Amino acid sequence: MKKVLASLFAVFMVFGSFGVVSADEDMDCGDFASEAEAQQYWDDNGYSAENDPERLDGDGDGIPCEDDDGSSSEGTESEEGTDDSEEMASEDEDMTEEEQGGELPDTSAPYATYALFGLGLMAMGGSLFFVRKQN
Amino acid sequence: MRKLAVAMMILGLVVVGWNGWNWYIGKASVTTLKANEMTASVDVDTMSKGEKPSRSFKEIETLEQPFSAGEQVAKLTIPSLDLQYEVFWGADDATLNQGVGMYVSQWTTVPNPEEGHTVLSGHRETVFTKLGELETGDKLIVHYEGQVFEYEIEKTWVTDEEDRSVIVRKDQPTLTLTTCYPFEFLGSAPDRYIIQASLKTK
Repeated sequence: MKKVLASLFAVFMVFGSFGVVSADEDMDCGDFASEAEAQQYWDDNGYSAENDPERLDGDGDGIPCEDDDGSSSEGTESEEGTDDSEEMASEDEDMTEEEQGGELPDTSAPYATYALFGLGLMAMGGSLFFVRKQN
Repeated sequence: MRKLAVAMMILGLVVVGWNGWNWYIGKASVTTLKANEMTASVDVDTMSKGEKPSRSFKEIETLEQPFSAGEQVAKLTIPSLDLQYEVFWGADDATLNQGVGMYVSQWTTVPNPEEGHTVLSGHRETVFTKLGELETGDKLIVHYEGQVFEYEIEKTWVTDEEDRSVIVRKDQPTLTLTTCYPFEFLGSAPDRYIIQASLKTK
């Protein structure tokens, strides 16, 4: 039974990484449209220089996400990988904000990545089968 | 347990098959030039650039064209890569799965001798895999509506996916190719590779 659970978990791992990686509760400075918004979030959660679990205040002065001196670089660094789908949400804003040009199309097809996941799944199933036989 | 193993293998096979098929579809829109006679007809039309347009902007505006998304509308030839691409109408996800897509927007036009910005986009994995090899001065040839447009690459650069300064209105006839950057098959593609070419005067 343990094995079944373990493999189920593995399957979840595979599918969990199928694109929706951005269900990340930890907010980064890049997730806010403005400093004011970050401040709002900061206040709403009752964070302070001492209580900053999401590391929004890099320099520890109690003000989150100041962009003047790159003090919040920690936030911007980790944001890169996770905000794929958050951009989708912010695209509509951009459209109204600046009308000077078109949005660049999404020109990356994830087929190779997905196919690799599929292969991994097959390999996992196969090894499971094999292990079972040996026992 | 055994069922689970079999189920995983079947699921895996389906995933591989589905994605492999999609990949194949995208790839199928690319042919090598040798297998093609289109090259023979390159110099059919001579065009005069810079002439006063005798028609309204609407005629070249992509939004005003009678095509439907996904329809094959043009061909793109890149002699230095020895490749020819089928070009489809639109740059939405479904169209780009078919191959190279022509961007439809208020900023872009269809290829024409006088003015405007034509933007072609393609997946880095299927069609525009070798775009990084192109250099300034290389030729891009577009076959559209029985006419042949020859462009020469002026500039290539990498930009952010949020950049709104690339797909803009142009006065001079311009062709822009966009694809994702970096060119690796795996992983996220936070950037865009842009190739901008201008119509060659004859």
